[in-house]
Amino acid sequence: MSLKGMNMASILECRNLSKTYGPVVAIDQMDLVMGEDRIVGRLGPNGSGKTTLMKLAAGLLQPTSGEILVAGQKVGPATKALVSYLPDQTYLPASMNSLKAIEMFKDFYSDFDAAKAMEMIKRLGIDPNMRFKALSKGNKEKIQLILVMSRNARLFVLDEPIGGVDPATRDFILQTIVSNHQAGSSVLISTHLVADVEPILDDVVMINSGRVVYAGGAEEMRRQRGKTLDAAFREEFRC
Amino acid sequence: MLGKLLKYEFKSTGLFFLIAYAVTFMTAVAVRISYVILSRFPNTYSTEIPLFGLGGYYTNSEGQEVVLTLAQAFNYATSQAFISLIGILPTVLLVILLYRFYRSMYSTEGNLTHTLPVGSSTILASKAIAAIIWMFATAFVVVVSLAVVFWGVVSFDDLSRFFRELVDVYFDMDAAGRACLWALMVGAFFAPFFRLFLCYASFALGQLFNKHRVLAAILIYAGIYMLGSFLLILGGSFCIAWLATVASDEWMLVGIVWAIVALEVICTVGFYVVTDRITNKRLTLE
Repeated sequence: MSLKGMNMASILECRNLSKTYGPVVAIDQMDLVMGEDRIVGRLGPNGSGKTTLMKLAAGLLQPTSGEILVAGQKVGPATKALVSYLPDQTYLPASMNSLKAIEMFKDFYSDFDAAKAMEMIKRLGIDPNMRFKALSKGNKEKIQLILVMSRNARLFVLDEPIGGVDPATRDFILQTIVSNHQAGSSVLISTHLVADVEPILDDVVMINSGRVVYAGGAEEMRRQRGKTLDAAFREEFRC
Repeated sequence: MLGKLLKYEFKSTGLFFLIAYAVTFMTAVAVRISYVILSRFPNTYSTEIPLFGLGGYYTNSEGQEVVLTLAQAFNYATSQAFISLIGILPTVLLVILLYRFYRSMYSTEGNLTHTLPVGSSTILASKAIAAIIWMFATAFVVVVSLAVVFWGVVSFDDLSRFFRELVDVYFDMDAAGRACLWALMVGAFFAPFFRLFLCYASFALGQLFNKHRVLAAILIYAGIYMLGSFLLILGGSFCIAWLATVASDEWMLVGIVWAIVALEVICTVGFYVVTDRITNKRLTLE
């Protein structure tokens, strides 16, 4: 299934991609093409294989079969330089602080904008010298998002960026995603909080049990089904 | 990129290691000072007041209570502290290195480590290089601390005489003896690598389990160790039997020692390959 126009270059491509964990099939023979300059919502219930695709794109997992390409290249050190990945958990060392994290990102990612990151942290009123272990969960998530979105990456892979945070933080996160999304770059967001992300999505990929059940424009889906994405999601995945 | 990774490896562990080295060195200096005080004022102060929980008395081998002077008590306390420190320092530091390795490679922090635009082999190499440098630095700090303690007790002349005798012993050895000594030195050099990569490989193999990965890693470590010992005895027996037919007694010993060293090196390379392969191809973070 394709999420790109005729003249659009692909940023992420899955070809007959499968990933299994022992007997559990997380992704099942998936074919998907994602174009540039899009914000794509990867929607699905818990355990549907959302995180697995994100990790495959970020190079944290290897496919069981098939292949996944980022900007036409097999996932590896070169594609990691193009992908900015936000995991669904706190991953920065507890003993680190924002200043040190910025220094580290600046050292490793040539596309990292340290001034932009610093400015966003200051605007939030978070002390950049404060260690992460002393920050609240919400502030840690904000810092992580700021670091990830301060890169001029080709592809932003955001795994559950608004899961487990209060509504005000959700607004900040979504606003940060939209305001930092630049022309030519794409954003892949996985979530099951459909109503919150619906306003910012260009395209939607709905998956269940590792298989794509819908891939297309968000507006097109709303028109086809005559309801919001949130309502369509609830209908599709009703228990 | 290796240089940048090394920078962050040293930064993450440096503070703890430097503090540990400073404490060890300061304790060595305290021991040395206590010897100086003891030699200058052997019977100046006598006390019956308990000192730092040590007590003003100790009971000698004949069961008599002997009053400790302050100088003796200070010497006793600092010496005990120093011996304990240099005894546990290498183990504690190895545990810290392994903890840091596990955290950054296989816990949630792995999401950061493995999304850096660097190959997994480079990441592994940076951790191994930093760990080996810390291990040799620890050995150096222990030697320097011992030198501080024994400074003056053992004179420079004594030391140079000792090393001259060692050299004489080496040149008095026959070819087989020298070959054996070289094998032992090469084996000693590779021992930290072997130990480190065995731990790394155990952690990596533990990642193949869905649950209780640290426990699995510990069991794998013990399993490899026991299997290795068994195979060493078994292989050693065959080796001895074969060497007995082709070599004299002294060259048979050389053959055995070199065979053990070769096995140690092969295993070290094998552990590295296993760790790299699993981290690169089979990684599934917690």
